[in-house]
Amino acid sequence: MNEYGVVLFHTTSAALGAEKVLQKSGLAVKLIPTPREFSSDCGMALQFEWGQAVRARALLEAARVEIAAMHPL
Amino acid sequence: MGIDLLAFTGHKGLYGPPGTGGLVIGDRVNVDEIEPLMRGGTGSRSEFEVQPDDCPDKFESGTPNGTGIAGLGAGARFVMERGIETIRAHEVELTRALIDGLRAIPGVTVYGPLDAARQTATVSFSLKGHRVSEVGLRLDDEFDILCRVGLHCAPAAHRTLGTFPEGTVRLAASVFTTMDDIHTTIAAVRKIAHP
Repeated sequence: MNEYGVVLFHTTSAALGAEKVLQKSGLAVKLIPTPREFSSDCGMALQFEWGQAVRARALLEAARVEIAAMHPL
Repeated sequence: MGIDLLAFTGHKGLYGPPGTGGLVIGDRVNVDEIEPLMRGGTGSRSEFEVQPDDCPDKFESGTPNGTGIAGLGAGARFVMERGIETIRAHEVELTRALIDGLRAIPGVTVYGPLDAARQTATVSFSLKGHRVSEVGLRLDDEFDILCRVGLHCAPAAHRTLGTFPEGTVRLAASVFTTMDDIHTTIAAVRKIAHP
């Protein structure tokens, strides 16, 4: 099982929004430069505990934060 | 310099806030032949329904970012007081040390002319066996060094360099950067490259 996962976004504002939403729900998250293996995008991605992937996706969907993808690190 | 139209951004070498910039229009330009790209209130000539034809109002549609422009003015004054030559000499000295220090690390490729006198104070590099995103994250996390990784919104430049799509790690020295900072940065990259 991968320890961490990462959420990718189309916009920086979505990344900041997701950080806020997930932090509020007690998830340990961290904004990091988008890992190159997933995207050439220059922006930020959100690292989180991969074990929380299902919950993170549901929380972001409920908060209507649009994500581009979610990957294990 | 024979320049007719010079557009500049405020948040780089002029030390202004983001969201500021300007367009210098030279004397040889016939402003009557140029239409503004956007029209809207300028805060002047309120009695007219249309955009005024007078310069600079003709090209300053909308509400100006007054606080930002005041910040840009302070930045420009700072640059003039410190002196462009003095700032440039400082930047060249740091850039030279940074390029030389990085190139001495096995596995590091430094891009560009590799001549501090022929480039700005930004230095792009990559580290064999490490993603640029990983290097950027570790510089920030472990060493408190901020950089920008990736394509820097300049994919064509990176295609020319042969660094597309991975990009590079880009460091930039300013007037506030010290030689100590440069040595710390070189040591940090060395540590990431050869733990």
